[in-house]
Amino acid sequence: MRSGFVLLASLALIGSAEGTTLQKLSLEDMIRQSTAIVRAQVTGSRTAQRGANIYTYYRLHVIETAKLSPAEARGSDIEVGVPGGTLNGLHQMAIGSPELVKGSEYVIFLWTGKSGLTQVIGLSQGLFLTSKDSAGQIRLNRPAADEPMLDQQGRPVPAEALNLTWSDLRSRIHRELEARK
Amino acid sequence: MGAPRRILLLTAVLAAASSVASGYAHWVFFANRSAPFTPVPASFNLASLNNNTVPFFISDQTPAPLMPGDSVANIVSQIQAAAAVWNTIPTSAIRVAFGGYAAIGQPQTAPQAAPGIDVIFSDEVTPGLLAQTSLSWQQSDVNAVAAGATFVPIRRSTIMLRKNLTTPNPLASYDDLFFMMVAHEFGHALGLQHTLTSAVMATQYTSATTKSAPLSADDIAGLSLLYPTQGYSQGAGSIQGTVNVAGLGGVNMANVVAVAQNGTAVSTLSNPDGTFQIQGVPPGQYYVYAGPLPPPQRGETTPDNIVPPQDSQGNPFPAQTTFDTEFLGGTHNLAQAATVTVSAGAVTGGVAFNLQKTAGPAITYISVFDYVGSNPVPSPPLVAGSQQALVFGGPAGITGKNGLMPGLSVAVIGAASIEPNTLGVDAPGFAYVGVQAGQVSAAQPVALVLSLPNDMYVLPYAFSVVPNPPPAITGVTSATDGSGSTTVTLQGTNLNATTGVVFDGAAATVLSANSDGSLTVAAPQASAGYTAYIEALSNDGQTSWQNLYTGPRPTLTYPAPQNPSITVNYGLLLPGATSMLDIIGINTCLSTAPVTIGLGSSDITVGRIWPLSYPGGRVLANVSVSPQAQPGPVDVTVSCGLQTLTIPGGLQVQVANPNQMTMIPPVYDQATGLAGTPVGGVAVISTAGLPSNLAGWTVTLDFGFPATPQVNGNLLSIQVPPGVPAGAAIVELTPPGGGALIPAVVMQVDAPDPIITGAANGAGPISASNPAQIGGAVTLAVSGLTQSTTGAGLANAQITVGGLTSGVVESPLTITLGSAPDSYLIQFTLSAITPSGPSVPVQVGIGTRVSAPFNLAIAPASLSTRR
Repeated sequence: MRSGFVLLASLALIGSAEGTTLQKLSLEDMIRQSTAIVRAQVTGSRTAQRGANIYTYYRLHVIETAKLSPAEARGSDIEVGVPGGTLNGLHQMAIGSPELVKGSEYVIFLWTGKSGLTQVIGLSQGLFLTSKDSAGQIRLNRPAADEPMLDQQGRPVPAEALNLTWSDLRSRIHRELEARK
Repeated sequence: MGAPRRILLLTAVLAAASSVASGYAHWVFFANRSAPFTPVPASFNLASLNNNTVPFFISDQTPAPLMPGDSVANIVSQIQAAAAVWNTIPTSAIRVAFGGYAAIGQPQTAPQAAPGIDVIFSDEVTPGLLAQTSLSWQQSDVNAVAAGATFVPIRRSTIMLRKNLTTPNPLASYDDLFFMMVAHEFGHALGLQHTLTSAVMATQYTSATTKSAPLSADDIAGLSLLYPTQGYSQGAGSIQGTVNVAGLGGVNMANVVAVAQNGTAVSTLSNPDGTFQIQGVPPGQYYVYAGPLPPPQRGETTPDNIVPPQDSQGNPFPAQTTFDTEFLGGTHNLAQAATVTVSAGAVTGGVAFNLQKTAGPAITYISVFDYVGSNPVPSPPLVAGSQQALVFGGPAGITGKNGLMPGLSVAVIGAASIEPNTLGVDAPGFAYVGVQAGQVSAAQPVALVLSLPNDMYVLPYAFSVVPNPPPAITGVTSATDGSGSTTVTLQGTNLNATTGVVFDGAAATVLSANSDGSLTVAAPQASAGYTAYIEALSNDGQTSWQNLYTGPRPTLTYPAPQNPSITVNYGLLLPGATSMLDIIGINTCLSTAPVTIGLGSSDITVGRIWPLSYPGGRVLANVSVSPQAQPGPVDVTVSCGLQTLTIPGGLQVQVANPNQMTMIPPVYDQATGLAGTPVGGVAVISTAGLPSNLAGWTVTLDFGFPATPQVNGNLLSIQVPPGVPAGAAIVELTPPGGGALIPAVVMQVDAPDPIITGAANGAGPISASNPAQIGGAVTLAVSGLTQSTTGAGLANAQITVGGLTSGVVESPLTITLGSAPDSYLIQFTLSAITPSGPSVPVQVGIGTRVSAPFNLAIAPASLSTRR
């Protein structure tokens, strides 16, 4: 009886064999692939048709930036598009799209594609509600649990905890981006 | 494990239909926020669809760049095949059909009134996402639920796939992931949400179905409940009850699952008051368990990414998830679980769960995998009789700091057993256990039950036990003739006559299973240079790709024919009218393979298609345009085999004419009511907008055969004149002096009907003194049987006795050549429901050709028995 320790397959293989909509992103993936990372407050929303789909555009006031593109400078207002919404009496329900709450503050990993549309990376994967802990530190909260993962050698690894402060995140971002320079 | 404990009190069968249905994971609405809760699902309105068929369109903004070896044609083929998965459910009335390429979401695209499904490739799919499906409905239709609406019509569904399939998430259409992902998304598009039964509609971590067997019993129940065929509810049973939690009362969206020993699993979610009804359950004995949905995983917004039910104002009923999971009988231990019996057409009621309040599920998900060599295989197939160590793990539970979670034990439901004392820690977060696969003659899913002292988790399709190893293709040899027909011989293992073979998404025809273990197939037609990926699919749910990983994938690159193309020889798209469409091909398979025509709009319906014998290929079809269709260009797409050819903007929908006159096919034979009329027969055509007096009007068939039209209300009838050749005939209706434009349509002219020339039984010719016997054999002598031009072969021949077709013949017809030219002998046995009498009319039909009645003496059943 063997316990399966000699493993070579990649994480992607497991994902591909199961059939999925989502491709899980690690924190490093999100840091690398996002075009900006901001801490921002939702100030409003609107809906509009975009090609075949209805999008809800959330208006955000950027409080801080941790990875910067020119459009998302601190103090600026930006719009983030999320698939789905109601327009002229037609409701389009986009499966898995997050709903941002006006007045709430989030840390958001943003991704701006070739078309110029800015979205949350990986649906809600890149969306964290913020709160202050007892020490006054801003913490990132994502209620989602983490799924079973294999490492690059196909070896089971424990789920990655995503319980960190904004300050921790900024450090991680800095390290990750510096390492890739 | 001991024998399952039955609770007789709970298995009392209630004959009455339930009034407390609960929604399988459909999109559900409730009229009120208080009990009783009657789920109102979102679904396509079958009444608004042509032939219950919802068209799907593929964006003409095709994906790029692609993975090496992939092509748009490969992708389109796989999408068509994945959509067609949902057409294989006999108890579901809805069908999907390829409607061609379309300029979806483009500024020049006219809005469409009829429902449909759009498949688009977008650069706006973010990293971390492979596909996303959206469904649209009118908010007013949701509001109407309060007034008693029984469903919320889906107006349109959109499946959004990545345009760039190389980065950041490489995805090739020749990977089974692509097929399964698209099949999953089409399930969403038709109205299904996620389930937790390892079905194709399960979320990524628990789905276990394969390209060879993509649908589970739960998927089948889910779609059949939304779009039931007549009699569906009589063939399946249901389980009804309540889910209550101490301190909470009835809970909303509890996951209630019935699992049978043979692996069948069907589920539902409880209503806001905790009532539930699992519908569409095949008859049998079931374990039933109830528990909370798992918390949202990374990237999910709700538990299991299921959108909760809403009231008629759009306010949600959120899922309650703070309780344990238990088997019926109030236990976490499979050995102590009760079972219920489900009978066809009956409701098994009184199934009550009284669960315990907790902080949430102790185990939320697990994945199970085996290793082939060094490669992990999720939800692995285990060959009957084999022993395997399976690794399983999940986001929480399974292992703690010092080993396995305290009290963790493992059991299975299905054709396998747990090896004693084999449960151990594989790595942090992962455990392993030894499994002994049982003996099976067909594939059986096996459920894994993880029990803890205060909770449990069940994965309904953790692995399967299969009779044989998977098929494998190790070599491909081919030969292509001048017409482009390709024969392929596949070398490999576990290939036999029951093995399905697909070239991308198109099925090959198995010609022979050879003594050396190879398989010879007729490949679907393609064009020169097309490289098809070949996959063998066994009938036990396995595929030749399941163990391939990065290994070489068998392919065939077609040498011929070169440069296929199509042109529209004739086509007219008038809102509110039906018109013939004539498409001519060069180097296509239009004349030799089943053809699909799409005109890129759900407001345009393609009716019957006639492939014509023509060099390069040619088809005729009837095309109907909705009165609501907006003017504008549409793409013309023709698909056969692995050829998909398109003319962007190839036709134009014209501006609507409020006085438009039209003929409305199909054209029926007055005598049979079938859509084929022989020469001399009377063809009946529905019309719209025609004057009541057609004096002076002419009808011409096939350009040279005039006929005199008779009109009766909106029905036009003509006698098919002598000389019209069998096959597709173009019908032109012309007013005196020309004038108004009435589009031509196509009708089927049949060869002469078959003729029954005699009947006999074992004692000689059947007569009053030698009547046919119930339960006895009858042989009919028939001429003209094979003059069919309808494509209907001998296998489609059927017998009608005394007006009854279904059930009057006990076994398939035996058809042999007769002694006279053009004569056949058809032998069959009369069933017990056959009417009797001295002169019972018998007819032979093949396709739309039906013989005149031949009177047969049939002895009454009692006399038949005595004899």
